[in-house]
Amino acid sequence: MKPVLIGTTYEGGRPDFLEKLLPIVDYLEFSPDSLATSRNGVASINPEKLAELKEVNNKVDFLVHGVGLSIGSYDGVSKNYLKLLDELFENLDLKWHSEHLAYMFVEGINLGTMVTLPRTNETLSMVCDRVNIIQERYKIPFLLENVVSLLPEYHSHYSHADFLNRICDNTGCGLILDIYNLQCDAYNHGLNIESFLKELNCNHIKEFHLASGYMDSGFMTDIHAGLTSDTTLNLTQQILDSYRPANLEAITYELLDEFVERVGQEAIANELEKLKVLFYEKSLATC
Amino acid sequence: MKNHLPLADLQQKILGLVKDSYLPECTDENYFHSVSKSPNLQLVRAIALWWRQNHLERYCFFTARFLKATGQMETTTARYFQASNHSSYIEETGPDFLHWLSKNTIGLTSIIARFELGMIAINKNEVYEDEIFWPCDPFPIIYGLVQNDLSNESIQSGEFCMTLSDKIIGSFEVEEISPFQFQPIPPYL
Repeated sequence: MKPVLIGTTYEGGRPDFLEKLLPIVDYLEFSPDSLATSRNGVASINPEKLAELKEVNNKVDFLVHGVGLSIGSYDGVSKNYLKLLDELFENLDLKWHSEHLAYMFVEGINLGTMVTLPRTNETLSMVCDRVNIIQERYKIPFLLENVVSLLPEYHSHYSHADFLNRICDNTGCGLILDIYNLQCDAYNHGLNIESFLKELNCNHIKEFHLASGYMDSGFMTDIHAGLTSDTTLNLTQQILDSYRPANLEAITYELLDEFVERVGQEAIANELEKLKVLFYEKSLATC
Repeated sequence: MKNHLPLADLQQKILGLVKDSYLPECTDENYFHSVSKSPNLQLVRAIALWWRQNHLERYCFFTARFLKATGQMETTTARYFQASNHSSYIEETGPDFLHWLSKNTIGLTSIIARFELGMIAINKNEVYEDEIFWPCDPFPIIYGLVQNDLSNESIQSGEFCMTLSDKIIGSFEVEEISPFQFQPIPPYL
């Protein structure tokens, strides 16, 4: 078995950065939305960015991590997003794909950010139906990610962990556990991370997301603007040691393209090397 | 156990709160009253605006730099995005924003948006013709924006006609015009 894979986000259009990343990472994770272009309301993958990825298709694995599916919109998922995903599936070999457990559109209107869902029976049933349809359509593993709650929570039938467990149990989909997002929820809303992890079936986790953000008006936000902090790395290690997620396959360092130059390509490369040292040899697969 | 609002109703109310187009009524659950007064809602609006400004800064950096230099970035983009629905794609939002600016603002803000709209179209090899009257010399302003160092010294008096065209090498020409030819536009600065 291979040890846990280490990868990072890449949004295309930075050939020098891509060249630097390729020898370090096992995979690149990209969002169809950030590769997209649009004309007259019809979205498609930017041909130059697609060509760039096709060029390295046999050198590195690809994971897709969406932003714009809006799996939780009461009035349906984004058809534009599915069209983008179709195009990527037609052109690239994708290992798995994922989305955030949230909604971004209401009646076609873009909220401008992702909003978490109420954990009710209605939502559970709707999300499970959609996950089943997506899995049937694309035939590769599909994962959902925990999202930072920005708004106060609406009263719910289920706890955070129970809701995630039920979605995974009902559909067979996997989880991305965004460890920094857990820290944000703990800071902003008092989420008890330990209780959450004890209740979560950690065997659903296939991927970790590691990132950073910054404080805004007293809130911890998930704008991925820098290097991963020690507290996030320590929590990651603690989860590996204490909860031993048996199906964990990948750890992704997330950074927004807007911050690549500010953080610096060298620092990003060092961050990935550091993750390898910390986690590559310590995955369950190698224990 | 409390009754839950149907997801459709919940999301429509959240949309209204985020867009500032809905005020909770006395029949609404306390939840919506508390969200409407919460700093969390301000944060959601701020993050949504941050993303959009970020995209605009990449798409139309001349105009974005001008708006920032003149302290208009926050209010202008908030007014634009609050007004109605917008595409998720910057290739559509970008030109729409510049069109909106050129029609809904005055003086140099409108002029620079129109100038950049033309430059973007020409750079995309589109057929394009426009004639813009400037109430000051455009070159120091363009230079100031390229250097990200716009100051009051960049605004030098004069009346100029700029012709933008895909047929002109360099995309535009500028000619100083005499006062009686000039169609005045109130300067922003």
